[in-house]
Amino acid sequence: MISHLHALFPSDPTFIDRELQRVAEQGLVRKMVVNQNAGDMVIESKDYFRILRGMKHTGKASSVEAFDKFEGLLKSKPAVTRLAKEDLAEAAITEEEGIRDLLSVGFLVLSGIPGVYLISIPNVGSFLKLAFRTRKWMVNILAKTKWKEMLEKLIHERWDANVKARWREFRGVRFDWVMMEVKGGGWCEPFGTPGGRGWKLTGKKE
Amino acid sequence: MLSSYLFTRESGLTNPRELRSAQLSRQYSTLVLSDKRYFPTRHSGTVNALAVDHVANRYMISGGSDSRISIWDLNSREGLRHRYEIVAGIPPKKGHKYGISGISWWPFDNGMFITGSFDETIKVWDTEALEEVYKFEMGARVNAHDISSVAEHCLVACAADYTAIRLVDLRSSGAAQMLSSHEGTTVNSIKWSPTDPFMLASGGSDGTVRLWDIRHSDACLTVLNLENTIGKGVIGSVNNDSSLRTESFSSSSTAAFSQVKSHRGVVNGLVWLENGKKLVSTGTDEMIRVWDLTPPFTRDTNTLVNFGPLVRNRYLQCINLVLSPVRDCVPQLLFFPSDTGDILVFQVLTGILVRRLAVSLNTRKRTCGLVCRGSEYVELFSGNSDGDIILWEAEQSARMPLEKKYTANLPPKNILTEIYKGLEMEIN
Repeated sequence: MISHLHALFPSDPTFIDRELQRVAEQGLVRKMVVNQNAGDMVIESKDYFRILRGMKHTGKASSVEAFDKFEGLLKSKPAVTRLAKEDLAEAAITEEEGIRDLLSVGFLVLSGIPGVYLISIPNVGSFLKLAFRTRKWMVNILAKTKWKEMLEKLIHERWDANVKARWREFRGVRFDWVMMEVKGGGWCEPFGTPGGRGWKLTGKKE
Repeated sequence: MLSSYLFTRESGLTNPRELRSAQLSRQYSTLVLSDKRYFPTRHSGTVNALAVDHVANRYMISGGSDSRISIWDLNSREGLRHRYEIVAGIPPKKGHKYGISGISWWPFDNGMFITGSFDETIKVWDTEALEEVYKFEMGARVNAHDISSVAEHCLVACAADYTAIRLVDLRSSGAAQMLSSHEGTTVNSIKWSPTDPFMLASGGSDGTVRLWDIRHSDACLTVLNLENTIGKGVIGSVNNDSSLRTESFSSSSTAAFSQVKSHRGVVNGLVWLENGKKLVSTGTDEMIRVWDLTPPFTRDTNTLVNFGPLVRNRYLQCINLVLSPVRDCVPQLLFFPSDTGDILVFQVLTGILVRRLAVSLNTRKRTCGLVCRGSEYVELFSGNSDGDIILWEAEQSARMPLEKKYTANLPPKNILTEIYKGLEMEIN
């Protein structure tokens, strides 16, 4: 998620935005905006196309060409995050064959606007749900305190307990992944105390 | 560092203005709550609008949600505690029936000021007599208004809870034009260009910032698209018409064009940079965007400046974005009143947070009105939701005259001498 990138460079968020745009235009990275409230996602292009090629051979026979055409279309428009029906038609991906296959496998997602599809990756929903749930847990933990803040050591303990309790959802999610998402997305901000680092809610809603 | 500026100024190596802007920039970077000067509380509601006159930078009008208007003399000092004095005022309910959403001085002299209010009117007042000269019925709550400071036309542009922007002519005291193109239900912010007398920028509830040229019949020039961006140092893809642009959305599909957005929420704050080439906008998606407006407007307008995660903007009320005076402070600062009660100070062109101005750590009084006093003065006035007006000025140490640091051969430091010197400075 883009919030992790922002957490790595807290002093210069403009740098991240511009670099991402530059690198996306060079074709090294694919940006995906599947849900505007959830935030942008970024994936290395080589991984994206590896997954695309891997999924090609599941599904109907005609869909192999559709996937190839889709790959070509994406490579020709490296910085695009949405596609309209007309763009897909330009690459000769028609409604019946191509679009339906891409939708069912998960590389295209419906947007609110008819005729416009969002570029995505299969099973993106579970990833986004995980990010949302970890963030919501974090915000709730801090919201319950009087001053909406807590020492990092204490949050870490609570997180470990949470992973054991809700292991079906949270197993394998590292504490620093959660913290980076919450810091980079602007939900919490760190501050220093004599007892170590503490985290405070910024008041961002949702 | 500053002593080297002094040396170069004395020897004529550099422009004296460089020293001035270095000194003023340093003062801007140390803005704190003033401990000496204060405003007595007069407003009983939020202070929504503050405006400093353009002629002498001496008089400030404040208008609040209690519909009271007060004019303050910024040069006044009452007694030892330096209290600002009111020069004139219009009591609540007498001027407007409901709260005031915006106030602006007539740009060319102190004789008139214009107020817009939630009682659906815009009123023009004579400052001497404190009487209203004109009243314009807008038919919808006025969210914001603006008058151009470079134009010969006396048009007041009004952003109201109505899809079209109304231009009102002060010379003929009637409605002049209506600009319709916004698709949402309200227009929340509006600002004239500081260099072009006919260009206007407006932001509405449809999430778009639109640029208008009022001379054209189909006045809307363009909608600023947040997806039109260009990465730093990248040439971009060259299209068939050999224009350099990067597209993240195909503009051939007309259904999609109506979905062009500048912000993913209501656009409730706008401010132009003084050179008229860049526009800063903010919306309820809690983002501030800087737009590059060199024509043609179809390419790379979103400059992708990211102001960080601390921006809080959830209310629909027009946000007063304030820039530091252009020649005083390098790099130029943007003052943003966040919903949490802080005023966030950013460098406009890079988005780096320089300072957070907060009255106290745990109170959450929202700041609504905000104004910089002007060139020559490092003073920022903010009006908050408790009816207080607050002065932010440079820290004492930054304000000390430079010559004092220049003295050599000081006597050895002595505690009593220090105390005496401290008392001396306070009395000054």
